[in-house]
Amino acid sequence: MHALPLPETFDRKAVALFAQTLIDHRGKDAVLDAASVSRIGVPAVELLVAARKQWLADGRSLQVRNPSAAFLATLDDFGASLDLLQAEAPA
Amino acid sequence: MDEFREMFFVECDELLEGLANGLRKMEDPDFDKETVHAVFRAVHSIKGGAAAFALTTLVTFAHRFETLLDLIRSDRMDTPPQIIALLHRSSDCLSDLVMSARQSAEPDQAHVDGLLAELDALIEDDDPVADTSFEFTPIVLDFGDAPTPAPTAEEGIIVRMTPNFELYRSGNDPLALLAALRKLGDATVELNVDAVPRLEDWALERPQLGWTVRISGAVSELDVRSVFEFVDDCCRLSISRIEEEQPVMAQLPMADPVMDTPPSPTSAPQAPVAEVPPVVAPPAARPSGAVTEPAQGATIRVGLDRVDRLMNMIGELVIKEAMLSQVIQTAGLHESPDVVAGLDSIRQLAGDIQESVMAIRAQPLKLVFQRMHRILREAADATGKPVRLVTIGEQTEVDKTMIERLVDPLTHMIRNSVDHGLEDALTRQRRGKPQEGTITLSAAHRSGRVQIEVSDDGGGINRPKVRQIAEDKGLIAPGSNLTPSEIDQLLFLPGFSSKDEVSALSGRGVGLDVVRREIMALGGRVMIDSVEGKGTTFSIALPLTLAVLEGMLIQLGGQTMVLPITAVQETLQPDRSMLHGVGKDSQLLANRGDLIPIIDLCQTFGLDEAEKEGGVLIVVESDSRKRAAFRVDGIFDQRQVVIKSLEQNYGRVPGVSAATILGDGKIALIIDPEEIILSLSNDHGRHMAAMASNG
Repeated sequence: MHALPLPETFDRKAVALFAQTLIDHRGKDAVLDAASVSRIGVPAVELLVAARKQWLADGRSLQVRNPSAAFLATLDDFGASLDLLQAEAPA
Repeated sequence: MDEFREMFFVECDELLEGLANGLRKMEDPDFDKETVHAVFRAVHSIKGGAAAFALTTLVTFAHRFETLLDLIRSDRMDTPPQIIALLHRSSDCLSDLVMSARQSAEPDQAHVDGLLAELDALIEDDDPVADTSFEFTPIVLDFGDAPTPAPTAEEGIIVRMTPNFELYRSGNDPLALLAALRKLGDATVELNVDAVPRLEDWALERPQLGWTVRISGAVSELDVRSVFEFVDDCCRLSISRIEEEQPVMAQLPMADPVMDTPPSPTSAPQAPVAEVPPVVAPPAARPSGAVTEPAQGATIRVGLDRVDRLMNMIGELVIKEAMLSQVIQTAGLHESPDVVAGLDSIRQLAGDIQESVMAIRAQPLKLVFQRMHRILREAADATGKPVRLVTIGEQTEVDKTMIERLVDPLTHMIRNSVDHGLEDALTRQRRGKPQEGTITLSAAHRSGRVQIEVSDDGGGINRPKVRQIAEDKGLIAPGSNLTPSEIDQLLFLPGFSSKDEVSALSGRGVGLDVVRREIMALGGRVMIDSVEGKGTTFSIALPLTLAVLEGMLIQLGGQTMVLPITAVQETLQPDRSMLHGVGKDSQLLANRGDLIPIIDLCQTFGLDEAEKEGGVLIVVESDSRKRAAFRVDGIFDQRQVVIKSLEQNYGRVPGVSAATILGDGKIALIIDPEEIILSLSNDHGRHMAAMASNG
């Protein structure tokens, strides 16, 4: 499965563009590659939460792979965890 | 603890009001299904709150009541009149139980048990096991005796924030805010994602992510606020203390949930909050911090004493404004356009502030009128007379103080109307009237006063009988020359009715003197209008406020007095052709086709008399629509005056209702035109009737 790379600087400007990318991949299982993320802002996290809810509703899986240290550290600072961003497809 | 209990009981009042309202709607066979849901929720909320305070009797009764309502809302029980009547009685009983709990008094257990048996019989008829599922174990909220939290309770602050798009657009980062909050103490940060929609509905411009930050330790609200100092207008923010939220959140009963409110996106432990009826949670769970985007129609509770203080200060402001006006006059500056404009602005502003505060204190009479439905039901049950209550003008607003003090007089008047105003069903039928009597309770604003009327469509006052009783008791001289309305006034005399006339419910005349006294203490009047065979109307005229009145400043034998402007019809300097002598000293004024008596106020108050030919005449009309012309030395101003009670500070003075302080610091008496007009008569019977009208 092709992984969608998250923007390196996942700020507000990047969010608008990446939202469209996610919409384009609706209805399919998806993997998000967070390896190169050096900075992620609140709007980006919110976008990923919204995506998880969508994927759950669609009955598809959404995974976050290779999270960078910066990505994980920021999530931690936000009081969030990877679980809030991932969806398991129903068995 | 006391604070939370009181808050619960205040909420109970509102819930009981909603309950009574809903039950009345259910009297209509086509009532809306939502009505029964609302009624159910009201009872359920009372039960939930009562459980928190271990008010076992209240909880037990509310539970049975609620079970019956549940049968109705699930279409397992119809609502014929006898069921509606039982629901009404249950609502009354619930109200009594709340009252008992509030006063820490013992409820009437026999009455409660009787109703419980009736409820149980219906519930068990429907489902023998319906009630066995309820095993109530009260979970007591222990707030401690003192406001300080128990030593074991966690101390700290809970901050809930949801940034608006503005925060992001302005380059601020919630991460920085979270970091600053972490510095204040041992903080746990929780991201709230519940309000975030699915991707298909998501928009960058409508952020929904929020945080709940619990900071343990001795952190102050001020410290927290300083973190948000520059961004508090671009995020939804609430700040509350952990120790205030903890007991309510953690310990309220969780069983039997009724989810009325969707979970809040910013509140973390949502399930308990949804179950908590609003009765218990407010002081604790309600955020103490400002919500920067207040919801439209949002309200706050403010102690009445604070509003009273504000009203008093406005009273002082009015006095100071009058003093300033006086000083300006003395200094000869009263013709300077700038000074006049400035003074006018202050006067206007003071008036606006006063009106605003009065609006805060104003409450609809609905609060009293609704209680009268129960009074009427009980009176109808006690007398066996079918009767209905029609209410008109419930939204008419009066000062809150009056609302509370109107309950007793109106209760007595309603009981009197049912007991003695209305005929029994058979008599009514014989007279061609509907068997069911009608009591109409109405209210309206009229000429700067509030007029409340209690009317019945009964037989009217039996005047020969009233007259006979008054003569037998020596209240009037036999054969006194009294007009019908003066005979009616005799009902207000203390001791008018003999004890053997007192029924279990009321006695017409018994207590009406008390009614009059209570209304007069509010600055009001009670009048009677009765038509034989058609019915009787009791009218109460009340001032809008007990604090300030618009008065005409008049000169009387070197004294300044105030005449309430609401009584004044016109002022005039009559020429001789308008004056007609009657007897030795009396004069009449020809005015608009009528001849009305002239009353020399100097004579009335024992002051140096004005010249018969000179002076000014002020035509006044009393609440009972009697007119007279007051002769005074002069009129020199019209202004708002602050009412100061004379009875509290000095004693009762005939013809005077209160006093005020003028701009020069002197005290001026406020004239009671009604009393003066009615005291015109020198006939003993009339005098007694007048006294009955005026105390």
